[in-house]
Amino acid sequence: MRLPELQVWVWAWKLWRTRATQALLSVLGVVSGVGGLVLVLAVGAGAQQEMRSALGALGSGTVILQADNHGALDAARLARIGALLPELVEQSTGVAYRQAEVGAGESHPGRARLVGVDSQYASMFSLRLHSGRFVTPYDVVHRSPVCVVGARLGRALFPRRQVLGQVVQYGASWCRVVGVLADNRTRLPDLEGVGVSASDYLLYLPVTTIVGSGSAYALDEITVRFSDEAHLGAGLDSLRRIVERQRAEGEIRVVVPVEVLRQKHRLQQVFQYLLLGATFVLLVVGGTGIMNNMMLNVLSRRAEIGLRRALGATRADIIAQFVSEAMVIAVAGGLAGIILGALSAMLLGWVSDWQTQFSLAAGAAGFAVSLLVGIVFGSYPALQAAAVSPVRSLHEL
Amino acid sequence: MLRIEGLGKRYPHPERPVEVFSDLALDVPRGQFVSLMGPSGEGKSTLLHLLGCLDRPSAGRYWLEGIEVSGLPEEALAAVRNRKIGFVFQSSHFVDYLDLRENVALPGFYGRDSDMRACYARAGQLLEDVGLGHRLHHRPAALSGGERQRAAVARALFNRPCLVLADEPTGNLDTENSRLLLTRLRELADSGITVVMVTHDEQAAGFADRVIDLAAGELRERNGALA
Ligand SMILES: Nc1ncnc2c1ncn2[C@@H]1O[C@H](COP(=O)(O)OP(=O)(O)OP(=O)(O)O)[C@@H](O)[C@H]1O
Ligand SMILES: [Mg+2]
Repeated sequence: MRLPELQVWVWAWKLWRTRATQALLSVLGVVSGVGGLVLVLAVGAGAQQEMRSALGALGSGTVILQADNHGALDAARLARIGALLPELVEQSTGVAYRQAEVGAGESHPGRARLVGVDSQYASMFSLRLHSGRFVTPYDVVHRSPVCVVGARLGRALFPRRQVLGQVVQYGASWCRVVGVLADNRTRLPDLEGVGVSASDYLLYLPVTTIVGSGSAYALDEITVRFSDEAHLGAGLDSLRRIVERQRAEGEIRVVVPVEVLRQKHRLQQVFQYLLLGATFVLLVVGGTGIMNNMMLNVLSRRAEIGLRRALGATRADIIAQFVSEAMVIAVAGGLAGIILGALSAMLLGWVSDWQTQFSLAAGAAGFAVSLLVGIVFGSYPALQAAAVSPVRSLHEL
Repeated sequence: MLRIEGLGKRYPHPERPVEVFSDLALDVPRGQFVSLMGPSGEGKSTLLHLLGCLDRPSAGRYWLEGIEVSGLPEEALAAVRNRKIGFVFQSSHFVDYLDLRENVALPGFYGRDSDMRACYARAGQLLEDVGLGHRLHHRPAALSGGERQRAAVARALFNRPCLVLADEPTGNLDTENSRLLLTRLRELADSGITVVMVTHDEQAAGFADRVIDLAAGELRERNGALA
């Protein structure tokens, strides 16, 4: 078969421009089918991306212990964990949370979350500084009145001024800004209240500054990083045993971020399979719509077919023409579907806590599928068109 | 230039096959204008379709410019239609969604070797020649019957055919447009193109060099002799 030249596509486009409603109606199935496919791929890519960025920021061997009531965790325990599992634990940090009204001079942005941290925190949660420095061991030991502000909070407090070096008021106390975080572009998943998500609107202070001094000040969270995921199993068992033994002092939840994400992604996978099935059905229905349209076209354009044959078109030319026509509407529908899919992926990422990511690969897949639908469902009508007898169709004129 | 021998056409049918004719013979020299007449249903259109390689005879042989075309495969027949034959139909037919120039350029498109830019230039020139230079980008449906037939002639001439076949080309035209079209066909014959025209109109037949009647399965010259 001769490859249909560019002209065939131009003419096919002209054909559908004069039969726009017909084309539009016949292609709705493909639009929604391809849209669904793109959405499925965007959800999958988003989940992977989320996993990767979370692992990149936290590491795959990270475990978070959360105190369900005050006093269940403290600095002494943090020290003990490090001492008990020296060969497994790579890094650990303890955090205490508070809420307070924050303000600076005239601006009072309202309540913000105070995060009491030690010097390990920034590296464990991969925080990047825009300027200044983070909390140092010295600050923790001496309960320095210093703080590091999240990028958004910094802008809210000092809309028109340099943030570094300013004084921020929180509750009845004050601190001097020694560091400003960079805009937090990687969106960390919300791990069931584990405070690793929005570093943008937080105020970080030395943990001792907000909770008190001594070696056993209370903590809300202890984060332990095992050297890698392989050590996670053994380390987790030991951790659980330690936590179990100290149950009397209060409930402690053990959160493994990797597991939380996996759990979430299992749910997403169910959704993906369901949507994929629906997409397949839609694509078949869409293909049938195009096929139906093409069959009607063959019937109503018999005279044109006869004419083209009289002017020198071979059967192969007629087949190429009708397949191209089917492909043009299928691909046009596919492109609309890609846009629809990308938009719904954006919307889904917006209204839910699912991360979605539209990629060029998803677009290419949508394009390829619509092309395939055009070829598969355009072939039979095209063969019918090629079988139209030129003499008879001309007789009907 | 055009020769048929023992040409027969029967349309198959499970109970009653239609035998339109079974043994036609005809010889037309180059540049002759032949008018084919006769009662309705005798097979004039059928014969024209055979001459136009749109259909295969059930019996007999057909030579065009010395080449026997009756035995050619489908691809080759399409090429013969494209290169050697120009068609003008009664209600001149066009592809409705293409403009006039694209319609006239269709034989160029199916001629394969040429590029479309040159085809459009030639189509534009041919339309200009028949006074339709200002309608190149109009849809065929927007044209009058006479204009359409002129465009149809332009299209038939696109690939410089040696044979032009016309089936009742004046059937839908008024006297003036008929006269214009027949004059044009006459000119074509004078320039060396063989023309075979089916018509019911005695006046139209008057433009031809030769009038042949198809009746009772026989071709008969108007002067009474068997063709
Ligand atoms: N596809 C077909 N199947 C069966 N019979 C056919 C077919 N095509 C034409 N015929 C028959 O062949 C005969 C010749 O038809 P044709 O159209 O050639 O006649 P005609 O001389 O051109 O008539 P008119 O002057 O009315 O146009 C008619 O009896 C017609 O019914
Ligand atoms: Mg007829």
